[in-house]
Amino acid sequence: MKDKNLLILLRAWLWLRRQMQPTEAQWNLVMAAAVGGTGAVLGLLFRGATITLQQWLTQGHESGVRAFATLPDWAKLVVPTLGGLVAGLVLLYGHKFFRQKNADYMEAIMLGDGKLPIKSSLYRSLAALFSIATGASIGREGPMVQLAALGGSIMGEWRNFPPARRRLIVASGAAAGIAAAYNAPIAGALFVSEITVGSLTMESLGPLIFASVTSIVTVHIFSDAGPLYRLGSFAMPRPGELLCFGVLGVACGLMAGLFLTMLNYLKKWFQGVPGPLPLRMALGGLAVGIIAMAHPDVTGNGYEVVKSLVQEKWVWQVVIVTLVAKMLATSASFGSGAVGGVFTPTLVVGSCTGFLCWQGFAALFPDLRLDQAGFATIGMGAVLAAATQAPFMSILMIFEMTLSYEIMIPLMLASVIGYYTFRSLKMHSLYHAAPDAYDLFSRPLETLTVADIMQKQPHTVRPEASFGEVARKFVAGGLDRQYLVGKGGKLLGVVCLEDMTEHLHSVGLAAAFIAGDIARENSPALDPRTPLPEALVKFTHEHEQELPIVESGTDRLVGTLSRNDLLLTLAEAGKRGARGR
Amino acid sequence: MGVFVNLDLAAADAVEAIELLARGLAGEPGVIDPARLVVDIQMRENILTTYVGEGVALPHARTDAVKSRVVAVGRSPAGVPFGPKRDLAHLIVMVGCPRADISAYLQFSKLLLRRLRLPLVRAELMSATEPDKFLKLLELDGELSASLPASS
Repeated sequence: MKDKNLLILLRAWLWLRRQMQPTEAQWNLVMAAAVGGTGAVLGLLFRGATITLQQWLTQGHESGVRAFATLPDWAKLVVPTLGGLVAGLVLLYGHKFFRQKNADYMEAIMLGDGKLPIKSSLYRSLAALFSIATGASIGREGPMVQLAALGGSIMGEWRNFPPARRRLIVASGAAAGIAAAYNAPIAGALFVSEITVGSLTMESLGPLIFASVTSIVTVHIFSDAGPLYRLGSFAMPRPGELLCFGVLGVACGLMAGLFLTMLNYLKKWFQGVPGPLPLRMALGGLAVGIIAMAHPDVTGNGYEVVKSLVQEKWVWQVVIVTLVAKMLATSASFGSGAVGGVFTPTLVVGSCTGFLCWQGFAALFPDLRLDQAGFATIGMGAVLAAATQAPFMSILMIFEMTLSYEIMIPLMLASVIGYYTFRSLKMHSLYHAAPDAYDLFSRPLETLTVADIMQKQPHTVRPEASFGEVARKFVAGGLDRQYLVGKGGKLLGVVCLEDMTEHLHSVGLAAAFIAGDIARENSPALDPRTPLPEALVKFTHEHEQELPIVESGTDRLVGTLSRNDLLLTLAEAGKRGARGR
Repeated sequence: MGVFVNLDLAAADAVEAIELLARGLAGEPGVIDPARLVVDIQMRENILTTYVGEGVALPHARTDAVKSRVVAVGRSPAGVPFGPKRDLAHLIVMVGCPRADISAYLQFSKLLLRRLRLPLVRAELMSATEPDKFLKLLELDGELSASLPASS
């Protein structure tokens, strides 16, 4: 009866597969969708946790800048200092207890093999929670994206994905996290595609878009999300006015350079401060507290400041002070080692720069029809494009944040000019990866072998496994093939789902047949030392979607390699090689 | 396809039954190596019994010992013990298939088992006196009858 039920289940599964004919790339979409939904929930939970902790610490119902503005001066000093201390202790003892290498999602996608250490990611998120809730001048989007990417990493580990596919699924998590943090699904996908994956091919972009979409749908189910910044009426600028936006682009490119210089300088300065990490982070918190006593606007990611610059009247002198204070506070938080994002603080720098340019042009050319909100918004995009060196993502992110099509032309102009201005400064971008980090994909292509990228735990089956056991594994694992292995892991054959497909109606076969009866012998295989270009030739000749990796001499099965993973790796390695040249 | 029928198989155990049935196939053009055929089917039987219940056993193997499918059918009124539980098989259908065509192998075995699951068919097989009728009951008569060898 049990076998009969199993066969019915397997038949239903096969029917579904035959109707849909899913390829590995399509499965990647399904996985990305699952990671997207999970990433959004994790992001929302983190956001909820920071708000709750902040309300508890400030003993009020407000959150963000308003919560700090209501605190007495002594508390403005004590709360971020203690927050930095606690966050530092969490990082210090987390590292001591778990001894896991830190790895953020950028590194895992750009340079690593897509593996994010779970414990380290969790205690770093906890440290970020303390820093952000106590007013550190950093964004919560960093940990939100890290947690969403961690969901992808866990999924990749669980499904035993090889490096190329694991990177893709972690990237999908990161895209979902950004989409959830900024209510910007297109920019979420493009941010990861442009900055971390570095390509806009559908093999990688498809799953990222899928993850972003499921993330944003999940966010809309659980919260009342809408455009972050609402612009009033913004008229398309006339040609003469467009020149002003060109100048804004140059100013934003330079300002991005100044901001990143400050970030790097204070980071180096804090590294030179004697004492353990918690003390340095407490010092960073104290610096933010001192600035916050005069300008509570500097606490947090700066969302309220941007919103206010877009929607309310400001005096230009106050904007200058806010800009300098925010850059200093963010550099102090980031430089002291606080875990968090600098994405939203970068937007603050952009909106202040945009506002100041608007003020200047309005004074110089009173006849021009210039708009404060438009300049503040476009400034955000231009500084973001410059600092991240990802203009395409920046343009779309600002569009999604405002849902204003009218700003697109000046936004595109200023963003591209900002991008090139920053490039001419010959500085590293905000998301520049450390060159000495582990880098599988930037190794010369000729040194990469099948062993580097294969899936190391193939789905195996013993020759004596019953027909029912084989069927169960096909259903449970969503597999197309299982590898028949004998003593010492020697590969004996391959059991292919397609060979069993027509015969699943027979309960009699289930009783009389075993895996060894239905395995294909002499299937083509690759040696783990095979260089990747040679492996591609083998795939081309064999017309197989997956090949077993077998040690020459012992015939031991050590892994499997799919055509899709090979192509993803070759594309990535080729791209890195071209970039290196 | 080569076929052999033994309506009065007398064997002490599965090993002997397989030997006797394989011996009956020895002259078949599809059989390349009768000794290897016996070894391969016995090895397969040793891994997991092919006794499927209701007095039926289907010893089988995909083997290099044959170049086309061969079938040997034995009937044992006394029964031949199969497997660790020594279940008595009264109808023993031995199949040897070339390694290449897995799907055809499964298809053929499936049709055989489908017939053998029917109580009426089994009862008639136990009482049939002619090899022709025996094969007809198994629905193996079409292409097989032409190649039916002399049987005991």
